[in-house]
Amino acid sequence: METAPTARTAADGDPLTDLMPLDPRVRTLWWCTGAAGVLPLVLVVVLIDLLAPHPAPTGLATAVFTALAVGAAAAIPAVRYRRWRYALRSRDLWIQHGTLWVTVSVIPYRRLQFVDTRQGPLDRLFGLAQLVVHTAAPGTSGRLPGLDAAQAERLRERLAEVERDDDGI
Amino acid sequence: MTTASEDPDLDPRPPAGVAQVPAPPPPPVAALGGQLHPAAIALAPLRQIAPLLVLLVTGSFLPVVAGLAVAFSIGASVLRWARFTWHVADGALVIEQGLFARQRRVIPLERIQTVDLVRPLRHRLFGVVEVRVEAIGGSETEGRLDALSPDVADALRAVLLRQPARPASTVQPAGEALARLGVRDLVLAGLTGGRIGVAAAIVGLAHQLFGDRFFETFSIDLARRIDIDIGGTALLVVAALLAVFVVSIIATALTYWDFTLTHRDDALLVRRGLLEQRFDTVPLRRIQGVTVEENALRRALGMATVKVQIAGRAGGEEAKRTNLLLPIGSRRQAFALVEEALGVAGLAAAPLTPMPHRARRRRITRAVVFTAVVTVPAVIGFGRPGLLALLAFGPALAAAFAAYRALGHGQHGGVVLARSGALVRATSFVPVTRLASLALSASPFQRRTGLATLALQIPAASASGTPQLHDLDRGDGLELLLALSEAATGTPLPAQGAGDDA
Repeated sequence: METAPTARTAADGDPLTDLMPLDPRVRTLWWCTGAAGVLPLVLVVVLIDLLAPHPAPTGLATAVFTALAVGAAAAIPAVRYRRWRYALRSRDLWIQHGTLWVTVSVIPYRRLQFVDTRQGPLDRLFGLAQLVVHTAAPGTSGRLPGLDAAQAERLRERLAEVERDDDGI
Repeated sequence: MTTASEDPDLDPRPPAGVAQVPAPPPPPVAALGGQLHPAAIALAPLRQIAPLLVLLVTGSFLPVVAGLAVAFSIGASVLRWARFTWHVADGALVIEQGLFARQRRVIPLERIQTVDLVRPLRHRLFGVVEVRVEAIGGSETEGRLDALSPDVADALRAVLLRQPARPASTVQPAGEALARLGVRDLVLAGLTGGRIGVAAAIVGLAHQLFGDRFFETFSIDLARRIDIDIGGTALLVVAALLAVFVVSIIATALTYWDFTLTHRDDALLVRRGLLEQRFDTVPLRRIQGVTVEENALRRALGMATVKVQIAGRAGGEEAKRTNLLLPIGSRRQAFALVEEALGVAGLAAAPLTPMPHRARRRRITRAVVFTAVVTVPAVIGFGRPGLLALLAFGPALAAAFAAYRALGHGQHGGVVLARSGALVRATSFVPVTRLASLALSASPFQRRTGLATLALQIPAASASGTPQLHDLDRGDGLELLLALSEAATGTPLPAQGAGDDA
């Protein structure tokens, strides 16, 4: 990225250039959910376009709306996938995410309260899982969607072994 | 001002029910527990009696029905009391309750954040205290013991917070108090605080209820009698303002009457309240952050308030009041209190770095755009008189400049400082060791100008109170992310077994 901050830990290097992408399968999953979300809207517009009387030539509204919807459903998952990156450094977890608002979070392992893996029906279909880390702060957003299921499980186990503060805060 | 020593229940005396407690710490954990004070049986029905009485008086309730309701309420209360036990064992507070399905709640001592003793009016009738134990997590009070004798409550408080067994309710002579509020302070707090808004709402509601007919005839009548032409409305306004001030002052006085803040045994003790008395204990090691707030009115008077951030206390209005370490005081007093609470000297004088000028430009642009959106339609719609709306640009721009001037950040003695706010200037102090995580985020506009906002995420009751460094240079923000996360941590991740960095 634009500024290269000085790395404090020799082994870690620049966290922002070392960020790893999610499993590419999650992009396909987001395209699927995006298509599923957009399709009913397109159908409604087609019906209105065909049945309701209006001055514009038939088919114009459908074409414009479909183009916009398909464009959004295709572009947003792609941007989101490119943005959503993470790095497991020696002492903290870095996560970058967001399409319009881009956030870089740092979560020191020491501050972890507990770590979850979650797998929805679609995740299972694609062999993916979500890793969610929790701290005592309500504002922490430590979510990593779209990891390989086995890898997510290994990560969870590894993070569970980290020594933490006795009272978690 | 009242003093605690007038109150027989809260006088210092040797803890009777508890074994002779040797010098601190740690106090003996054994043999503390049992049932609630029998007064608990009467307390629950008492709470329900007021609405019942109203129904009886208005005649919408048969006396027989009312009697049955009272009898049922008392019966339920007896059963609840009989099935409720608590004790401290194996480093945890254990509460068991429930008639058929027993519910057992275990609160480990290391998760306990604060212990507050509360004495509502009906508790004072019986000379008992309610104990509220707040632990991490959850949106409610984790441990609530409705009625204990003051001796037991104090002993329990000491054990739960690993403190020497000294009654929370006895406060040392005036010299030891960090802050004390007199009547003058309460009046000032009432006049300059947020309660003015609430009071205005109450008076407004009264006007809505009795409004047009009553108030107007009243004011016209008054004006006629005093025989001035402008009288009516002006008088009405003055009367309404007076009512607002009085309501606000009374509400403030009820809540913060006899407010005393003491620093003792590595904890801050707050005593306050006129009808409902409270004795709150905040261990210093549980403080996640401190914020000094100065609204415009108070800043003009050189006054400020101090709030503390704690992981445990349940949210809402009550937590807001309880987390107030200093309802009102001089700026100097406020910053001295911050230094005392965090145990770091020199915070008041710590220099703050302003944000880049791009942050000011951003605020000006925002003010111009928002004001234009509101005023341009007015100019178009009303023609020439609509031009008056353009005057709104003045205050909007002034606010933008003030907002930029308020921005600042710094570090001193392992504490991060963040200041912001034009109307209410808030200066937050967060010890680096309290940071649970950090987040640097940027909106599309911020990204265009290379700015970003850093959130200092600390364990607190709600995410909305997260201290933020608005509009840092993005490069500086990344530097801070690295430096602060470095300072906040120390444990490396264990060596990985299977390779999973694919």
